[in-house]
Amino acid sequence: MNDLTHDEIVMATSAPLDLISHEKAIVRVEPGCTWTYLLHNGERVGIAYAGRSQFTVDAITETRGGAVGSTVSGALKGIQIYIGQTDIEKVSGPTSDNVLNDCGYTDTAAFLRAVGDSIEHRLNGGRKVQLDKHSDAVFLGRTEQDKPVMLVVKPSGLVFIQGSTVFVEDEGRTVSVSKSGVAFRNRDGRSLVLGGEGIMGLDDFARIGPMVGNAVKMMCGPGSFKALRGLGHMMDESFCCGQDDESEDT
Amino acid sequence: MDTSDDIDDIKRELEEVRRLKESLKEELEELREEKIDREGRTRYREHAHPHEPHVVDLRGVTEGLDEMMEGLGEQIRTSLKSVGGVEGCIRAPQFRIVRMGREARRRIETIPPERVARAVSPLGSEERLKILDILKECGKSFNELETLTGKTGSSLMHHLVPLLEAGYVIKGEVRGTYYVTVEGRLAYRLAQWLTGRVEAQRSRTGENGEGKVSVSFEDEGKQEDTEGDDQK
Repeated sequence: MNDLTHDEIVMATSAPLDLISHEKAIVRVEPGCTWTYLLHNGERVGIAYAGRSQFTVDAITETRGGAVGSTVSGALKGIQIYIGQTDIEKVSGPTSDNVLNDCGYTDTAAFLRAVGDSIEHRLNGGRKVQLDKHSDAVFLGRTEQDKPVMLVVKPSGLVFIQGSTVFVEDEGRTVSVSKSGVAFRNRDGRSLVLGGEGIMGLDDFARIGPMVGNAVKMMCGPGSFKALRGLGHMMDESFCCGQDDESEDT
Repeated sequence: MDTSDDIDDIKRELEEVRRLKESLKEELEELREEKIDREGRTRYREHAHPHEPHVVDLRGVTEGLDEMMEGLGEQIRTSLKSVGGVEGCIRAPQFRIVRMGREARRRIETIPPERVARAVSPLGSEERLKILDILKECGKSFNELETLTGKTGSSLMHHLVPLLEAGYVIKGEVRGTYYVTVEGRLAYRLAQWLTGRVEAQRSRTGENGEGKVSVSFEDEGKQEDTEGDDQK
């Protein structure tokens, strides 16, 4: 999405608004934020704003061994860029010098200059951003500690990157990198967690020995075509569950 | 005339036998060369990768990996033996399993009661165990927990707080969803395991606890027996 520019109209919020409201992520804009529209080929595609706002993301992956990850939240500072649909104009009016001063700008020209610099730095310059205009939302923010935050929200999932935390969820599949480890979760609930305590979830592959054995045996017979299908059981749900509990308890 | 025909037939048969012998000799020679070549390659491989087995340290890893690795090398070797002609060429990996040693078990046995209490006391009520049991399926909101536990408001919080403080449950702040953590799941499973063992022991020895108490931190088959207090 090259050639992104900003509008000349500058507004201010008068009530709180959830700019992003997803099952696992919220970006909330407080009253007293100053903002302007972002334009792409003359069309309004989002906003750039400054002022009090926070983000909260549940970067939590549910695995069979328990939940991994945590909620990541923080206050935002400086110019924040949001591309997607919004009703922010419904809780906004014309900005004032007081609002602009509270946000750290002397006047609208200074705010718009900062927006322009931010667009150039974060979005233009050949970066590719492809969006489904009706449902996707991209948030490019900066925390109070001046660390970048990226949040992409789609109906099927979300992508969140902040510092060393990466959380990707798409149609029930999850990849999570956080202080507590790395977790992968498949749509059917099978998961693998690489944490400080070791590897968790290998129980799903407990029968790898017999599976390799069977597959190799089949290679020497007329059923050699079935050999790879034999390994396909690795991905089969039926064998992997319920065995570990019994063997431990008895 | 008949005798001459017979002699010709015998000569032809002899010739065929000679050709067959030559052909067999050639095949035998090829097989010998193949064998020498194969042995040479095997020796080279053995030289390049000496018989040092790969060490798999399972002390910090789940029992699932333990189970998976057990006999894996042997299974692959057995499978390859049945594949004609390849048994000499392919060497299955060798594994040596490192399990929890005596020292590690001794460390567990010396954990003081206050540390045990920190881990166990958050589990110390039926309601808290019920919460962990409900959450093991998937995350639940506060309202859902109220419905499923039959506890409401502060009464439910009274049981949730110790679980949150112990790190057995976490709360997703976006929608207020509660999840059981890896530690919480482990603690609950160990509590279930303990219950199973105690009940099994009771059923063997009677309600008054007479007889031996079996405690094992390792294999089910290698139990360490300690005398019960009543027998000391």
